Amino acid sequence: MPDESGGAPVLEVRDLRVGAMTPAGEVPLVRDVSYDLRPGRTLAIVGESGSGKTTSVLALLRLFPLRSDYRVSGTAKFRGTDLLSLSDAALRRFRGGALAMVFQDPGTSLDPVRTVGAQIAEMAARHLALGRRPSRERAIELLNLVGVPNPRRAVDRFPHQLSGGMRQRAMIATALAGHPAVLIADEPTSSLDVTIQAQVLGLLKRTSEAMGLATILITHDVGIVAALADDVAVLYAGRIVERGTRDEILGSPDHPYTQALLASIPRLDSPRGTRLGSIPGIPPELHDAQAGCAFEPRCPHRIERCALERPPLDPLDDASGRVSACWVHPSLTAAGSR
Amino acid sequence: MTPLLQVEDLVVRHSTRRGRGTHGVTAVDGVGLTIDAGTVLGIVGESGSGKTTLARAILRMIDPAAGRIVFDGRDIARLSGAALRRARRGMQMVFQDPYSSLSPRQTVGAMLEEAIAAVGVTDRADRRQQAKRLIERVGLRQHVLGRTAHDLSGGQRQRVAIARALSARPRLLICDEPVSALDVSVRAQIVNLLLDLRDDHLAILVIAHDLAIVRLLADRVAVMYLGRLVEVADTQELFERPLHPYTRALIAAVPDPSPFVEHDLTAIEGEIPDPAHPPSGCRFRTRCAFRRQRCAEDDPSLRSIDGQHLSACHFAEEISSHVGSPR
Repeated sequence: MPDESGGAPVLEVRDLRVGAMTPAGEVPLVRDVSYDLRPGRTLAIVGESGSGKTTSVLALLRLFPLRSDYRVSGTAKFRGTDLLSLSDAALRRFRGGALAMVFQDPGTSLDPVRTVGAQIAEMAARHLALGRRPSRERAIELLNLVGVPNPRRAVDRFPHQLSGGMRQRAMIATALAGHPAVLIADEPTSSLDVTIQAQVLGLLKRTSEAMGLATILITHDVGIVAALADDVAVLYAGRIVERGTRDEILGSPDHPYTQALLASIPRLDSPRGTRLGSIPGIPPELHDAQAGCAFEPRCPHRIERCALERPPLDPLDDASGRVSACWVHPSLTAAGSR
Repeated sequence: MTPLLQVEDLVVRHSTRRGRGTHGVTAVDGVGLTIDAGTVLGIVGESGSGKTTLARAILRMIDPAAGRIVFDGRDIARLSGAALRRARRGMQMVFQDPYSSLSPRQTVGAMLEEAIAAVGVTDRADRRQQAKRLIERVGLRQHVLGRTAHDLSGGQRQRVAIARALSARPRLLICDEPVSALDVSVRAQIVNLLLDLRDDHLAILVIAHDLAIVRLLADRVAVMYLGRLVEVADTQELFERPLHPYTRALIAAVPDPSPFVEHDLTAIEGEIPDPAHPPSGCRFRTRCAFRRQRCAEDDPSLRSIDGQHLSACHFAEEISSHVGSPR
């Protein structure tokens, strides 16, 4: 990935693989995922349902559903410590502290029977070793920072007493309470109205810039990618198919899946009646047997080789850190220009 | 030409118990709109604006407190029983979530044949033939008829839900957030299908919070805020020259997917107020960038600013002449 910030990566993920153990055997949900995350930069992981985008980050913090059996391999070095080889107890010290998460639906991730202030204060107390009074003051400061009106009153409110937008702000305050270096935001605004979404996106952008956070943003919304991301990784069937800077990926996508995805989104200036590009077929079942490219059956550019041999995630040129897993590279040939 | 649907001064009240006593919330407050045969009307607005309540009232899933709903020449607000059911057949609804709106165990074929029987097709072979035609019309293959909803993807289910709605041969399809539960690439397929249906002269009322989807589908757009229409205009006109500050704010809040530009995330402040206690005067004034003294005192009504372009802002003419595009 191009090193534009000059900073050393705070998180280096290499060959991440996540498999779900089922009675029928292991189903690989995420494979060969590698990326660097640098302070002050936002990496957007883009994909549709089932692409593995959420699983790939939940695996870093071992946040899997109860009573489920996942196998994780690869490395994820946070400031040199491999998160994947830590014990549960050791990992707990990072979770919610140096590595914090903001989820899609604050209704399910905030505890309904405790006040938002108590939940923010708990994070501040646990990760910054603050006493009762200072951690409560910290909660009020954070609520103020994230734009919750009347923070001295809001601190004693329960989540259900707040609107959806205010709950998401409280969730962000909880994530910031442990002074994170890495913020993972999983579809942070998809349950919000567009006006409230704009407020929360602005808040995320301002706070991550001000605090120099390295952010992983999981989203399916290309508008949000354009607004917040510096770098983009596109996931299809559990693998990164293309990775580059925001302007490279949105401006001149190379992988046929990225191209098709971008062609399928309506824009505010598309005239009425415009037919959207749609991708025929549905994503493949996640089995290991696939020899070739997972997108091959739906791909308009496919050649014989695509079904037989999986294309590696190779650099597109020498100059940038841009990589794309395609034998054809339609962006480099006249036939593929959009 | 008389419109296919004409809604006049529609009022819907919900009574809620909160704290002590019962509070009446006017969810839809004096809404009037028309839909011509074969055209698409889009309704946009934040949650709590009353857009879903409006759609449900038009279908008489909720009884309105006042107003007229004239569909195909009959005021269905005054009908009941069998007469209502007959009149309502011409309007069908497609819901947001195809997972909960379809029976999980019935086969698609049985579901469609049941819907076709309900409109009086007694011959079994006829019903089968019609079910086949419907499933093709929504872009699915015949073998789907033997599957249950459980076996289908989200996009396939939404197509089946549309096929079921079409089985009654409606003249108006009411779609409440028809694509918001679907993945991006599947959304495009359903939007394209709705465009095809519109080309076949089906009228559609589409409710969506995604402005880009409405821009693609609708001939005309109505913007709702706290139970009222605040702006109504032809689609291109509305997006290029919005004449209500709320419409401008909604358009400006949509993140633009273009690369190479600095993205300005300025958003309107605050949230939609509690509909039980709407602000005095203009309901949008508490969040409005253009508010003045008069807005707190004087409740603006929806009026024509420029021909068929309606706005409920005292200062619409000024906005029109002084302010550029919202984006």
